[in-house]
Amino acid sequence: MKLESHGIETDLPPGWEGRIGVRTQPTADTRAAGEVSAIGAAREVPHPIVHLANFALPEQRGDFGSGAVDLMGAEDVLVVLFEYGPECADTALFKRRGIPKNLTPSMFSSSALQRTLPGQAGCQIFFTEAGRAFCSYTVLGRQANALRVLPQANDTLSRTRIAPR
Amino acid sequence: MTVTLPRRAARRAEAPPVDLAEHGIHRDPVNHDPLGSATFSQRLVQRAAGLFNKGTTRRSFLTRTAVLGSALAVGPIDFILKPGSAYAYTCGTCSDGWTAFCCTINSGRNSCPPNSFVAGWWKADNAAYCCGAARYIIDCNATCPTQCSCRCAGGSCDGRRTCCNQFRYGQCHTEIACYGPVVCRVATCTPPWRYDPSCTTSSATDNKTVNHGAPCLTTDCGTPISKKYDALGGASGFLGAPTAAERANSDKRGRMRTYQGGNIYWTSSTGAHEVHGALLTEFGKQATVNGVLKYPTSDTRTSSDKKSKYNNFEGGRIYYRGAAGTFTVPKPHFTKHEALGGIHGFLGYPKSNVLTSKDQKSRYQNYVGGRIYVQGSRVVEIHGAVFTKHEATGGVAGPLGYPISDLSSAGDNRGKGQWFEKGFIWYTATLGAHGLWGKINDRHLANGNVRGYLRYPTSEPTPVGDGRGTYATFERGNIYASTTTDGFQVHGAVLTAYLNTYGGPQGSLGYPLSELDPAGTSGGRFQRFEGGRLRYNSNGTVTLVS
Repeated sequence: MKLESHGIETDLPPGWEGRIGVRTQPTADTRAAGEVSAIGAAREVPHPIVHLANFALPEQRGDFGSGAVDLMGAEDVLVVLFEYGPECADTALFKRRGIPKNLTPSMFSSSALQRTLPGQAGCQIFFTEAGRAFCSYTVLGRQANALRVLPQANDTLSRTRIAPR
Repeated sequence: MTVTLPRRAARRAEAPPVDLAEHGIHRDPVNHDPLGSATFSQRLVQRAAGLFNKGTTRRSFLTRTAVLGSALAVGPIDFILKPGSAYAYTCGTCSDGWTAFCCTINSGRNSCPPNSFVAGWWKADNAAYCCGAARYIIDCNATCPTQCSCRCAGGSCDGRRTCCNQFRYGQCHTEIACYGPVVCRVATCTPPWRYDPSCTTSSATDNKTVNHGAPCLTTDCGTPISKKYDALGGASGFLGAPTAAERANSDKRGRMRTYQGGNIYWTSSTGAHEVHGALLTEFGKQATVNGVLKYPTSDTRTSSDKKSKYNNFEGGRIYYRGAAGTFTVPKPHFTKHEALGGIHGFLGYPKSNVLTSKDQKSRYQNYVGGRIYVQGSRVVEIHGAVFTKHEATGGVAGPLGYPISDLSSAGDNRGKGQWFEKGFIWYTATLGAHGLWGKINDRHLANGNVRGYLRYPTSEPTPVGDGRGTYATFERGNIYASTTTDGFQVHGAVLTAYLNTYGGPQGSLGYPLSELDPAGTSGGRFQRFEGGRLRYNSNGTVTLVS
């Protein structure tokens, strides 16, 4: 199944599902009446978020997968591509070029999780592709199964393209 | 209480550095997996995970966790006594997978502790904590090399972990690639890009964390102080990031919050106002809201002459003039100073704080152009040539004592006078200032002061040199007094004869014993002296009578 939105395209393998979207509401800065309306400062800017998984994604998910990771089984894998503003591209954190497509078990850590859950492991890779800054965040339902599930994740990432904005 | 989780050294060798930076993985190479290399997971996290390992289904585990959470994980303290809406917040345990809040591990400060940096943020919408607006959670990740170890924070109702989760949201300080685990989380209603200018506006959302709380966190939604902070530019403004949570003051009247660059104080009657820099330092010396100044009634302002900055307070004002100093003008000095034109009046800027006189009878403050004395309810200024003269005669310890009136017009369209406890100082532009006291002053007043015959003094009471008496000169005569005689005026031809013919008070006539008589029927006027009488004849001559 092919997904394409916001300059991001992926062709999901069988058994996978995904979402590409940009949060639109509610916005931040909508504080209590009169509180900051006069400041005129910058507002938050949502950017595209990609969630790809070999399990059923719940409707309510955090951008880095909260709500979904709670439901992961031992064979499950979640791939998140989170985009940042163009000002982040090519900075020290995002100096790597290109979507990671060769995830290995050694890259994963049971600590590298937004919320550490027993058995799970994660891997964050910050990169710049087509002038756009991203974080690739991959979560394994069971770290011990990394060798078995990572090829699926790599396959999915290999099918993903990012076009210039 | 905190629980240290020692590394599993006995069972597992220390992991070698794992540098994956070339792959875009910037976790601290020497602390690649804090959880995997410690007993932490066995002690706590895997205690819960045991349900999995023993074949419990994922869903039953989650159900149990949810029930446990419902039973135990609601804060015992709601915020009904704190600003904003009352709400219950979700407590956290060491096994829930989340990181503790900074105020739990950083001595109550809702800010990143040393050896950590603002590394990223997310928000949760519709937060009661922020009165329905977005709540921001800012991660403080350890700087490389990591200085902390994975452990439970141990806070009451915030027992979450610290230095365990190697996760980075990534919107802040992107110039720093390497990062250690999340040390703690800052919770704020201030947008992160205002909290720390290094943060970008790239939004990340996780609404499941909306009610994560800790006893040390207060609501931050629309309090007057937070509004003021926002209005001043938040963390991007001169106040910088908060350094502690907003708190009630011990006076049970107002509240305050401290920031990197200053403080904001609030009461219902004064509103919220910032104080910063040297003005804040001086405010601190004055015991802040517990001192004479009480609460600020203005932010820092610049004076119209551009020479100073100042804050107004309920109890006065503080002026800052760079190298010229920073001084407090408290009431009632302040009220008097303002009534006299303030810094634009003849007193000008303060050049000292309020001081106590050596005799402990007054509190005074020096200004560029003079001084204000406060004695009980009496508040009096003294300035210019009169002030100089008063000081030259010994000030409040001299023969004049304290001023008891301001300098005021003499009513003759010419000069001015100021009343002191024991005398007067009279001033004209041509004669300058001269003080009178004792018997000489008494006579001058009795004879109509400057509107009498003698007009203005041209000297102070001066010793005659005989060890007995003094005299003062005036525009139209002299007054003489001694230890045994009162003060009497001698003027005109009588004075000339008294001085030139009879040697003055040290001559044969000694000191005067009366004023010159009014014109009598005998055709002459007499003035009595210790050694005889002088007659002022109708032809203008003076003769010794007896």
